[in-house]
Amino acid sequence: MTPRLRFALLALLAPLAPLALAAPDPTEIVRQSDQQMRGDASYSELTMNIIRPEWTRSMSMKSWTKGQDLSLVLVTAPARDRGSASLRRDREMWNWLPDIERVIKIAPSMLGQSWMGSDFTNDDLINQSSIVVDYTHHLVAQEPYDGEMSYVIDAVAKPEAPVVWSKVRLWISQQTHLQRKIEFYDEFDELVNTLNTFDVQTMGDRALATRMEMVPADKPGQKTEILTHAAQFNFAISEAFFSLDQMKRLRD
Amino acid sequence: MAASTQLATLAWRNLWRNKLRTSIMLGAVVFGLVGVVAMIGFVAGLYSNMIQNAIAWQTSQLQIHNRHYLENPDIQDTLLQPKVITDLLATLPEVAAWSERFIAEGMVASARANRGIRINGVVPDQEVRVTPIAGAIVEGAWLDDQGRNPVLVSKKTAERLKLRLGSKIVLTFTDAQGDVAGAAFRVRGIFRTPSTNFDEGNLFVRHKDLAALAGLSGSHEIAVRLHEEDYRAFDTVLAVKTRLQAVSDPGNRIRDWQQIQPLLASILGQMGVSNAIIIGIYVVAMGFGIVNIMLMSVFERTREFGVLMAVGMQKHRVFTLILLESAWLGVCGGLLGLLAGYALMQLLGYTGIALGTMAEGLGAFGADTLFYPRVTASEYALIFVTVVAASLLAALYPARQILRKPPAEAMAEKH
Amino acid sequence: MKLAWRNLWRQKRRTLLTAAALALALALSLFMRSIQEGSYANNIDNAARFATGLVQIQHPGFQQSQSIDDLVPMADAFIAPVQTLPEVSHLLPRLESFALAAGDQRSKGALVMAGIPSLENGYAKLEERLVAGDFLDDDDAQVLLGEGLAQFLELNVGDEVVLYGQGYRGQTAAGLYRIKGLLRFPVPQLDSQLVYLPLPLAQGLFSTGDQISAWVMHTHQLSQLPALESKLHALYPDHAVLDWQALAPEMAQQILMDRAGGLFMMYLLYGVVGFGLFATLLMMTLERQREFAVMLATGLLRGRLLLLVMIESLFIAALGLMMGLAIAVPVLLYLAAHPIQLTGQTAHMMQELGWDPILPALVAPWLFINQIGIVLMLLLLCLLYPLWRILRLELVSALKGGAHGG
Repeated sequence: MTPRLRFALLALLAPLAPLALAAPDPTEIVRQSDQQMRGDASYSELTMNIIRPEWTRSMSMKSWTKGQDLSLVLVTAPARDRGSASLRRDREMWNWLPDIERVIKIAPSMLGQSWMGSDFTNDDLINQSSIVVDYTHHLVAQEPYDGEMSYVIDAVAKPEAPVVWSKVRLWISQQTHLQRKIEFYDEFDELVNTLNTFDVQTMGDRALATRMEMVPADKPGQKTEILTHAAQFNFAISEAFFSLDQMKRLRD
Repeated sequence: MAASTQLATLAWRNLWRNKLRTSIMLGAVVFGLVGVVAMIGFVAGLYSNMIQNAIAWQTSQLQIHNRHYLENPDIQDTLLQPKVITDLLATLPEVAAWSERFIAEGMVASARANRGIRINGVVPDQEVRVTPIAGAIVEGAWLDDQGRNPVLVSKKTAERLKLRLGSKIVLTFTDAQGDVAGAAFRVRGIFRTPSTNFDEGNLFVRHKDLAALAGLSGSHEIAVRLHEEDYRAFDTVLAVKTRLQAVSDPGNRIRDWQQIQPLLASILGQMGVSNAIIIGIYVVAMGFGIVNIMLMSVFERTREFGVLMAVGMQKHRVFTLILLESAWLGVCGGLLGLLAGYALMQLLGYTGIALGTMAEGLGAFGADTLFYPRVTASEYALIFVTVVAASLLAALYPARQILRKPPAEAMAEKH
Repeated sequence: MKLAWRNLWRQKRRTLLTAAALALALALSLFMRSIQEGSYANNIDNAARFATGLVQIQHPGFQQSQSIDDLVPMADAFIAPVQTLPEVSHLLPRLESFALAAGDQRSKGALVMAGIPSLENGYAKLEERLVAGDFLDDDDAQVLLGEGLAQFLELNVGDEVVLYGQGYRGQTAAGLYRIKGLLRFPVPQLDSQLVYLPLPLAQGLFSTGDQISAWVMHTHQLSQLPALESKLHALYPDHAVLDWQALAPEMAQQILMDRAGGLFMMYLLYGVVGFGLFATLLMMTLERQREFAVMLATGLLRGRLLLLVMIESLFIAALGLMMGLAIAVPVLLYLAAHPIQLTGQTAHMMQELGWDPILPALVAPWLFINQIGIVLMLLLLCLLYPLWRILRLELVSALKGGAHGG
């Protein structure tokens, strides 16, 4: 039951080059950081490790994105799931199952279910909420995170915003403007999930955190880890690439 | 005529000659009757409570939907020409109230959890007059026109999603274009109905909020409540249904509660059988009890009847006398017993019977934990007839036995 | 003693009548309780077959999580100890999970249940629910769908349905299966949600290997359940052993409530027959007042008179109990062997629920002992007032007033 973390995933799926800028206005900091992640096209190769107290499971995948509304993920390993793909266009989502050659559209009743068995739900990927628009921002501290000086900003959900979090605390690097750590709080001000990122490297033409982990607060020994092995940015890719036909045609 | 009146008077006097014996017998009859009345009332009260509850909470007496919606609940399939229907409903004297509902299947999410749910968009003023929902609010208040996007969730949902009054939830569903629509709602109230199933799968928002989010107008469901709430008055329901069918667009379907919940109708049937068996056992127990005391009482008085015959009373008159005495006893006992039973039912009808500890099971059952026994006039009549018949039957055998004996022998009979 | 015995036979009719009152009380209460308990046992049995079984062995976390990750082994080595237990009449492996079921146009969340069709058929009588197509063979690669679900998905026998969800430890579960038949359930939650698979097929779908969600067990007699449970607890200390009350608490509550209603009826019945008995005994005592007075006058001690009446009553009680049993036992034995068949709408409804439309009687020693004890208690209670009256008997007026000295 992990609720929406889409902007966390955006951090993963659409990283951008560092922008050396340090504005004191917290909203501006968040906006810039967010802007940085909303790039044009991206391609990355990832490994997702689902870690449970009794077992772990590893999946490899390739991901393409264009803007913030189009994304396509192809599973390359393990063999059993190889060729499975997941397409998102705006607020709709489909999965392609090569074994049975069928496309499944994700119905609203399935939004709450886990995405590929991870700590992310389908809804995390679809949700349109925006860390800039749906929250008000307050700078609470400046402190180092993972060796980088960071702004610590509390984003408090606006009353009518369609987001479940009541507060999100972000650590935004002053150097790279990457969102390095995010804590998600419920209305009782209890921590529900934490997103940590590590190992900032330059890939393609920009810096990005190549390891990130999502840790649910109330499930000890459980987390989902995503490692980025390769990434490319700013290449031409047509909108037609993000289609059901293309999803079926993808093989490695 | 005069002779038989005389005999009846004699029988009546005989009865009160031995006050103690008669009192004991009356006591036995009265106690038995009160037991049977209580039993019938208990069983009927429990089941009718369940059925009335199901009608009040879940089905109402009538529901109207688009036929396509019934086959397959698609948010596009709203009622056809609902205005015609509501116009007619407004003029029918049998109709107490109706509620137009906009329904969406979707997901409710908090920071803690999410689950699939049926989102009921209701007009606050209409809904309270059709279902008892406003009385089932355990915290907060019922929906009104105040504020933006209020929502009512069940106690169960509130616990699962860790919600309290004022909490924000996000509702997600498929809108008219087939896209996923979502919005934030604030918990205005928390309800708990007698049905655990209903509570797990339903929440309430305002009709206009939900319809606007979905980008549609109209309703998916109209639920109709009639003034006549007794579930046995099914003819009234059918009459209103026929009137509605005459004006409604043929693309709509009007269903009565027996069609909506066929299982409920079957339960009525089963209730009849099991009631009949139980009441049968009771009536037999009571009947045999009366027969037994009667037998004893008549046999003990063999000598007395022997004397009567010896002083020249005709045999058939003695026979009639015995029967009449017995009948008097049956009538008196029956009347007193029914009176006592009726009084008890009135009392329990006022206080109710509480089954508090069984609350959870009753909830799944769709019944309140407090219910009221009910006994119909025809049931009272049946009990009365049974008592009198049993007492007559009880007198027949000893009366014949006594008459067979020569008076001398009867007189000589020892105790 | 002898006097008491002779007294009894001096007044055969009175003795018989009193004994008959007792016999009636016993027979009716036995009859009612036996039918009541019989139908409870029947309800539990039916409901258990229909849903959870009487007792299950599960992974300790399964009841809370309902997760496909919390499984128990299906291997013989694991379950072999149970196979030798004499109480177990049925032993079935089952796998349960959730998945998305999809047709060409629509999809819906579905409850996936899997078992060994031939075993399930002998237990849950699944085949009787079939309304279209054929029942599954144990090694079929086909599935059965709830009728409501099939209608929603716009699928029919011979069409293919997609199942898609999460398998064991986060693996993707996806399969395409031909529909072999449709099942009809009176419970909408099942009718509109159920997909039924042969166990090996489901284990493949969810990648569980040789594991299942639960071992489901049934006993020969409901009364054997507690013994079986304690044996299972001892055999499987690391697993959850859950009975039907823990697995389906709401159903257990319903049955409990039905029982509470039944108890209420029972006490009322005791009240009705008890008062009849009281009236008979009191009357008998009053009629004999002169007789007692004569006995006292001829030098019998009051204490001995009380004893005499009590011994008489005991004889009558014994006679009454024998008569009652003589009436009730053959009838109950017959009813236990040939249960009452329900007819009409009720029978139809019960059949729809998958239950046999019968009202069986329960014949068990404890039931008889209970009822005999209760009837004797009633008798004792009823005797108190007559005895008190004898104790307070005024010799002179009783002698004068004769039998009717009320």
